[in-house]
Amino acid sequence: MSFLSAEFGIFLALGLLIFYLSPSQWRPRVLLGWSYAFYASWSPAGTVLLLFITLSVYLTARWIQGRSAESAKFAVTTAGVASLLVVLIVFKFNAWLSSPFQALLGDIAPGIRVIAPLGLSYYLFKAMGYLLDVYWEKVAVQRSFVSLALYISFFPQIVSGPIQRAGDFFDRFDGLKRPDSAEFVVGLRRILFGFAKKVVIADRLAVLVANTHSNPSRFSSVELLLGAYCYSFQLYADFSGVTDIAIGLGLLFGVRGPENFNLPYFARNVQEFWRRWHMSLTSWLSDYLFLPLRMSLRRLGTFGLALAILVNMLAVGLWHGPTWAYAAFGAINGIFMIVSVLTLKRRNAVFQTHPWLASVRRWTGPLVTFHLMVFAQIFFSVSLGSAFTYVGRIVPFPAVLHAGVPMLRLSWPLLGISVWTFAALCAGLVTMEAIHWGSQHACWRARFMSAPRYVRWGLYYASILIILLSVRTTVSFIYAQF
Amino acid sequence: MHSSKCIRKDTNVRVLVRLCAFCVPIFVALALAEVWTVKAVRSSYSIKRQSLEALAGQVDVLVIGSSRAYVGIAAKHLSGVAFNLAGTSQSVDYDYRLLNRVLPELPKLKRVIIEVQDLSLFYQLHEGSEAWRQYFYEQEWGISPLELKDWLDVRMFSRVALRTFGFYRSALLAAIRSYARGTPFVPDSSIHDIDERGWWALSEVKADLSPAAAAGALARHVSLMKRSYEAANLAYLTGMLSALRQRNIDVVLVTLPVSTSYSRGMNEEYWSRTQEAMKRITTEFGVRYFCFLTVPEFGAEEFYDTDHLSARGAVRFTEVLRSELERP
Repeated sequence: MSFLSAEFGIFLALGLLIFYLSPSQWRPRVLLGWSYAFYASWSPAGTVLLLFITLSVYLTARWIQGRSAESAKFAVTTAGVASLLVVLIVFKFNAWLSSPFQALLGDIAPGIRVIAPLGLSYYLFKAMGYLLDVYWEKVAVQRSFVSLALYISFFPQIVSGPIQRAGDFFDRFDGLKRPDSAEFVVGLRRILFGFAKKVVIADRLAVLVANTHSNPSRFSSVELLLGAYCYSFQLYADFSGVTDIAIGLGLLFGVRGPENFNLPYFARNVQEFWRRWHMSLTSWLSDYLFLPLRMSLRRLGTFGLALAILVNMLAVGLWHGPTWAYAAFGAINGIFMIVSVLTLKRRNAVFQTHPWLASVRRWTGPLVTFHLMVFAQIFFSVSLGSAFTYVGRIVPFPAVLHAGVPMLRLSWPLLGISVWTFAALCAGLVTMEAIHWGSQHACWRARFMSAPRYVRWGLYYASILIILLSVRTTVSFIYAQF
Repeated sequence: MHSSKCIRKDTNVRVLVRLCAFCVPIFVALALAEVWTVKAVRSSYSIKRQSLEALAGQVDVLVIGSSRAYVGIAAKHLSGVAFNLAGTSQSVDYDYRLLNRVLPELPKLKRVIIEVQDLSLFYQLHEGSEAWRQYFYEQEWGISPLELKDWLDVRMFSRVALRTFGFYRSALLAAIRSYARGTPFVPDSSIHDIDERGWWALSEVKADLSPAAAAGALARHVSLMKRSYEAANLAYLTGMLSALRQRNIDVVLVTLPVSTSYSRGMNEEYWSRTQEAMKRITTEFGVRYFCFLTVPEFGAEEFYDTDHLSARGAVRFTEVLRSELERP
């Protein structure tokens, strides 16, 4: 059951009705049942795995709490996290392990193939984070199985994140029992915005991107460059759209999820980009992978720092799946990050000695960073071989690479989109970023909220109409596959 | 504490009232859209139902089957008052249920022509890319899906939901154009070519009957076919035959022509199993079976594509079928 389906609308309405009619102390249980029902609609077999993992994590955490010996706690935490990693590897990397693993499985259960359950990467990271937080005593052990199970399976977040930290979730747990009606309205607004991003912008850009990325040899350098830009914006609108929907859904039930994006394409350098893009994953990896690794490699100095960055960024890439393209995406970002980190002090020094360059830096920084990310995301969008072909055809090398295709051609019919649609999409992107920017500033939020009701409602109705008329074929969320 | 609770409750009530007020225009718009859809938007299913209801007292020949029969048997060229109730992707289970639904309303029915093809025993509508059609059967004929998961679909209850958003976008643009030109507005132009006897005359274009074109159709069909449906579909087929024979209604099983490129690529095992089943059935129930799978005289002008007849092909084929049926 996709967030975009009419069935989900009915499921949600029914869930809200039951949730709000239930006594407050029963609401977590109701929401847990609803979360499992939602997950079962995707994967009944996966639900059993989810329950098993939750139960294992619950018992492991209780066991850790009950021990005083540090060595025993360490051993059990390590075993727990390693087991979860094994589950992740078995399901995610089964294509790589396929020969021996599938052969073994084929002997035991013929005809069965291992398919990664939906949202596995998200909920396993939540579970691992919880175990590590319990071990590091950052979060109290949950005595209630319901609260832990709800944290891991919370339905707005299980398909595409964001990856909320255990402490943050449990701190807001009381909100479930006494949801704030003002937050409810904010949630609805957020869901509407998420749908608009997904349906009006991302799915329209997807048409152009599908054309350029499926057969780059048919397109000119200019068209491929446009395709690469459009993919970056499609990915952003799609992923931030599903995050908005997830956060909005959480707010309807009284739980605020973490933000995942903060105007990433305005980042002034690569480090800043990764602090603004998929923030819940990068901060998770930063806390549980990068910082421990950095501490253990600190004796190696600059080399240790570079190694920790590279490993961290490779993990960011491979979290999406075990493909060479994702590994390349991680490695490219790792190299960008290392160069950026190691040259930051020198660059700052240069700009301090030439203050007149500061305004140039203010404008060129985001532009350069954006283009670096557009380049890296080509590796995210297609297989490794296709990515090299794609990049090779963008670079204006001689006609050998572009036989029969003029390098500077821009054919809208071939791209599958009209120039007017493209112009409307550009306007949509500007509006989207303006809303993002405005929502971060209290004065603009207040201005909007103080506008007459007919203006606000008129905008909401217009948005709903535009969304409905923009719906084409259902394109699933890009990040739902991870 | 007490006063803060009161304030909170008051705020919650106000939010709820505003939310309801906000939703009122949306629900009104949806209700209007439902009314408009019921009144103005016709589909091949509604046209067939209305046409059959209008002719119910006279119909003596009924054709059922999938799209090959829908486009390939021009009912008005058969003797008597024949009606084509076949439909795109209409599988044997839906033939069975549709027949049971209409049989009591056709007092003069003397003959039923059932189309048999390579998919007949190995395909059911509820799975695959054509499953959306089952909701039209629910809305028009009251034939509900058999699987529980399909009962939860919003298309079970809403006519608006039967169509895609693309349909409404196109309909809106068409309505604006019609208004500007002063011409009548037809929301769904694809139903123009269905006649009052339920036959869809496909426009006559010179069809591409190449092996590559056939391979595309075959691949799509093979992806829909499952051996596991065979027993159930045979039961539906024999169930139809039993019910019809009990009422002394003549039953004719017919395989319609396909292009040579298509027939050569058909799954041999499935097709030979179908032929064996036809042999058993014709003996057991005493019914006739005509297999016109390959008709050498039919060329590119007789076909719309590799496995569907064009309007011209359908008229020619129906006349051949009529002469076979009239033979003693």
